[in-house]
Amino acid sequence: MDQSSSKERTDRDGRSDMRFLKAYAFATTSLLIGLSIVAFRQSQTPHFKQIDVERINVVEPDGTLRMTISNHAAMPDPVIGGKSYPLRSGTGGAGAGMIFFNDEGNENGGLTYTGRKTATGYSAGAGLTFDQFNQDETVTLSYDDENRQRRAGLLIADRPDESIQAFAESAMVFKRLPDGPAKVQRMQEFQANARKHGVLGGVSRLYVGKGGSKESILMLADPKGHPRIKMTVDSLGTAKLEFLDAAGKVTYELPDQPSTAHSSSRLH
Amino acid sequence: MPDKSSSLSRFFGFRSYVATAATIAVGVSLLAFTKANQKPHFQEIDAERINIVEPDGTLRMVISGRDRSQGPMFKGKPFGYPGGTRAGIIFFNDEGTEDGGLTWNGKTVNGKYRAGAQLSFDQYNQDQIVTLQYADENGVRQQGLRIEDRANIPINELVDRMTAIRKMPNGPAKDSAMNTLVENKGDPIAAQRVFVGRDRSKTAVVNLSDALGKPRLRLMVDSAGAAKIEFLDKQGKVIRSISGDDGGR
Repeated sequence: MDQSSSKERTDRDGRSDMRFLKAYAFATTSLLIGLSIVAFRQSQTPHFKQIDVERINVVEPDGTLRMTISNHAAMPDPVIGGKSYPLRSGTGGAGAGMIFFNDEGNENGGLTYTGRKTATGYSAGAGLTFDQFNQDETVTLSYDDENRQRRAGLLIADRPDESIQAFAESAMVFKRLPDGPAKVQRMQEFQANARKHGVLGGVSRLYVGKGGSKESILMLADPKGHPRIKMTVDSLGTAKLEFLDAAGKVTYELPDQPSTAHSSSRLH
Repeated sequence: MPDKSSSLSRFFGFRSYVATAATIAVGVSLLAFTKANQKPHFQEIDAERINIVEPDGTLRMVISGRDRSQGPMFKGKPFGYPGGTRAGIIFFNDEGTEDGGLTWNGKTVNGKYRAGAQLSFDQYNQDQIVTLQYADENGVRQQGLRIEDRANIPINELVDRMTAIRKMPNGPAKDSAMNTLVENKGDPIAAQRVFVGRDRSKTAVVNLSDALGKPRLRLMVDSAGAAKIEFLDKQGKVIRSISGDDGGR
């Protein structure tokens, strides 16, 4: 009785083991196949819910860099004529964000932003900039703020036709000089010379926005950068439209000035 | 008792051995899988294209180089022209229809260059109506902000109708069909309303135009430095001009 019931139990246990193992093997195999399929599909186009990254390089299939998205520390150096120059300045110098590169891999714009405490208060800003081909910013939509002294607006600038690379090369030479007043002076002389020969700089042609004195302004300038039409509403609410000559003298103003000085000068 | 204990030991011994091993295997792969699905941290990654998608897979943004860029999409379906032409960022609305972008280019071919960059926002189911742009054809350049009106015709339908007209034989019937489409019974398919910037003739200009896209008020400083404000009629004739030189008279 004991033996037969024990054998029965053994058979029953054996069959039960087999059923259990079959079911278990089926379940685990299915699960592993399922996971492998999902994992494999992910390996084709990886899918992330969220990623943390210090820098993303967007590249063409041949490796040409087209864009970086990065924190401040990992911002790339400007690339001019296919060569990197550690000379970044301005909002991009302090900020984080995106830098754009053209089909030839040279920098041609960016979208950067910054904001931090300084010894005297704070410094903040953001800018979307498009560079003229092989040159500097020609379209700039920006916000700049130094301790509540704010400017925000759209600036259009003409830039020299010459590439900015010659300037970058020379700037690197000066950068390697020992620090001191001699270096500062030589750098300033060099920059003035570069401006004179039209490889550095540029002139504002149009600005629309608000200025540092809390005025809202539309300014149109000639190709030498002299403002020739200005429409302003100043911080006190005074509105005017001015025509200016190349020397900066107001030649006509609206609304007409009621002052006697102005009308008497008109009579002559 | 010995039977029971041997059966128990068999049970715990054999089944649990296999089961534990298999469970560990599954557990490890599950762990690896969920680990991959957690928020990964990278110092630096290279990518030819990044797709930003909603949880249901709807495309909301493509960040890419030129070659891997996305062509236009209307409600999740490609239309117009294939991808591979625009480096930068393309935006898509909640319905998977393209609604803007930030793109750039610049290349020298046979000693002549073509360069540009633009940020654009599209009207719903239509084309760009806010555009901040730099466009340069080997030194002939235009930079500025442009605001446009667009007709209430879905862009995919417009592209189909234009494609059909372009296939017609050249002649008056084709021209008339194109005019009818472009003018759209007084609601033009595209009309520039505002331009603020610097145009191809090197003039710094603010242009305000009517609903048909005709400039009616213009502030300008041309390449020679001449500054004036002009009011124009709908034929384009200057009806009042103000400048600094004539004291505004």
